[in-house]
Amino acid sequence: MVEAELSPAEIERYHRQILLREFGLEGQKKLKSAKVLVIGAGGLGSPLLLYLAGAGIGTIGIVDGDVVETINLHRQIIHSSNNLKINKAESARRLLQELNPEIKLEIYTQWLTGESSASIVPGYDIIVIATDNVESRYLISDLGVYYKKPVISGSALRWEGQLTVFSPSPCIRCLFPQPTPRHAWSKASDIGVLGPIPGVIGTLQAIETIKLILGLPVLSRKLLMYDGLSCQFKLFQLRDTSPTCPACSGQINPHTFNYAEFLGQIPAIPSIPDKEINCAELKRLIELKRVQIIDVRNSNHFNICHIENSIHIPIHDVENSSEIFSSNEPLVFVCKTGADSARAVEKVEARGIEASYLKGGLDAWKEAEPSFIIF
Amino acid sequence: MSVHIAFSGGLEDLFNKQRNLTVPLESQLTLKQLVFHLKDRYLQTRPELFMSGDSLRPGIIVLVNDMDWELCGKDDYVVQDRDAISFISTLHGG
Repeated sequence: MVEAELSPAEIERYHRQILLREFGLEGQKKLKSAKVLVIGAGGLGSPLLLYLAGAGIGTIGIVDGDVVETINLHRQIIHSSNNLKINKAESARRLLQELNPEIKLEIYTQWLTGESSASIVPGYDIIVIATDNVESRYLISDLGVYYKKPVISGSALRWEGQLTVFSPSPCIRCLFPQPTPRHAWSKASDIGVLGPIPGVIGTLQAIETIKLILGLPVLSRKLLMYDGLSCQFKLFQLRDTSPTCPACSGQINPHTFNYAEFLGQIPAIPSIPDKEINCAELKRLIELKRVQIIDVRNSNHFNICHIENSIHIPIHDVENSSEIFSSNEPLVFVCKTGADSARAVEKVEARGIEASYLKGGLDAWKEAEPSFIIF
Repeated sequence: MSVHIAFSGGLEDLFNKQRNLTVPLESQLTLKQLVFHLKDRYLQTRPELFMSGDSLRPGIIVLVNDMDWELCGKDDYVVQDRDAISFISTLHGG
């Protein structure tokens, strides 16, 4: 890293952190020379990017292929209601440039892939994982090992967050040689997230990033867990580099590795054509009062919205529910997309019960009934 | 003897939404046996989110007294009286 000189305006802007014993003018110059790549301008990326920009990281790269939606704004506070449908990297750039015109922002309005990363990653010193999916976490960790760059990993869901640094080894594959199977992936869109939880973790990622640049010890080989409900932080000691880790022993080229295959096949969306009914048919049955609708989504989704007079039996309880036996009307299962309700039909069929399901689920119902609210 | 079990990252949902359990043990168990014991006696729903085949599901990290189980023998570690054992499902959200 070539150390940059600081202007009087910069010294004024960063004065309060320059005062820190661990910082000084030298530390600020290190920040000015640093190039940090942030993957994801969402819940983690929002506070992270704001603090990195505020602190005067000389070059910040932002990668995100998504656009801003209203549903993001409770936690993705770098965006605003005025930036709906705008790419998130671009939306973030606008606020960051206002916060700190002294720094350089490079935006990539695309998803990070094995291919696209080849022209992006080599130009940066540190990579920060601020994404929301399993595939990108393995890809970014592998890129860190491949290019020998530290990776700061954060994640958040519901009331909990996790933080660790791959510097770059031990890496994600040392910890999790096998990825979480698809049926165990959980998402904010299914189970929710409190806005400030990724806020806390993204802020901690900013602190670790700054410490790395200053040459201070970081959270390597340790896992920090934050539970917002009990207001507890816990720190755990993790294993060292695994001797059998394929990434750390140089066997993984992230630009050519087949991540889709590694993560396992996406299960086919179940479809049973002769058990499907469409929205018009369901509407007719409702008008005739000749249907028992069973909604198989989880209770929070059900409580926000459901078709009138539906009963609620979550998909994982369908097999053991006695309510299904007691209905005299034809049964129609519904869920968000039609997938779980098709599975429900299969489950009750195995018990000798006839049922059908709403094709396209409540998403399709919303198209037919604009007053129905589902997200 | 008994051990303290903590679940997080969503695993608590499988154990009646309990984040903490005190589990009495009549005999000494290895960690592998303890995993089966928890599945057989305490798990309420969706065993496929706790185990894959006869081992713990990938993506779950186990800590024995705040230390990665890899550092203390993993499956073969013999559980001691009053050990604190945490099962943490790694999160991917952001």
